[in-house]
Amino acid sequence: MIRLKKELRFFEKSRAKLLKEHENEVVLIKGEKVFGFFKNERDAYAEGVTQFGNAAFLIKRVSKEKDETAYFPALTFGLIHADPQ
Amino acid sequence: MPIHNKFFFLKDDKGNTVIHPGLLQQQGPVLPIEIQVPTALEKHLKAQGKDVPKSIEGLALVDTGATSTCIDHKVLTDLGVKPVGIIKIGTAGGVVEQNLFPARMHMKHEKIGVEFGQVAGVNLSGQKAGGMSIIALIGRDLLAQWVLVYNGPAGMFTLAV
Repeated sequence: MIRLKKELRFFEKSRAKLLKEHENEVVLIKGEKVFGFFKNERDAYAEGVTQFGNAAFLIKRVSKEKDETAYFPALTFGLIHADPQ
Repeated sequence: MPIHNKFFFLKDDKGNTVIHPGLLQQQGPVLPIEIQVPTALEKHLKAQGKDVPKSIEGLALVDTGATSTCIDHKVLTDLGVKPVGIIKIGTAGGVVEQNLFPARMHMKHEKIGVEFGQVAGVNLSGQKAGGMSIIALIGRDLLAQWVLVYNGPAGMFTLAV
């Protein structure tokens, strides 16, 4: 089961607002609340672990660009399974 | 930039260890690795007096076709690492979503450590090379910083990291 869909929906809903002051920063989101902005993903993760312990939370770079699709040909052609379920 | 040469050996009929180019073709450019919990999580667990999960060993296949590095989902969940994002992955059946995880990869023989802020968790179960499980694909995010030379006739590949 894919987790953090709620957080990602919140990010998409808030993207335009976040872009105004935090473009290219990394945001830490849990539930529907922002818990800070950081220079990179590692700093955001360290803060997330400090605040929430070993829990799921969203770390996302604030960018105008839509997320690109990643390709793993071994997965694409079914040589290795893509779906972890 | 340190250079690491990886040869593929077999025992011949006389019991001598010889380089075997066919093994590189069969197994692909693979490296022994360990996957560890992220440094921040390790510090947190230690501060809480909790046990840090032991690293999980396997092979990484250097995959020039992979956009980015990915790690077996089960390895990450067995380490107790929780997701930090979602990524779209192209598959034969269309685009699917998978979780992203923080992780640390250690290449034992080369003594190279890589800390990933986010890496895709995928299903690599059942993938083996030389009897060992492939637990990660090293993609072009890491290769963007490295030099890879695949020398088929010599049965070796070289990484400059």
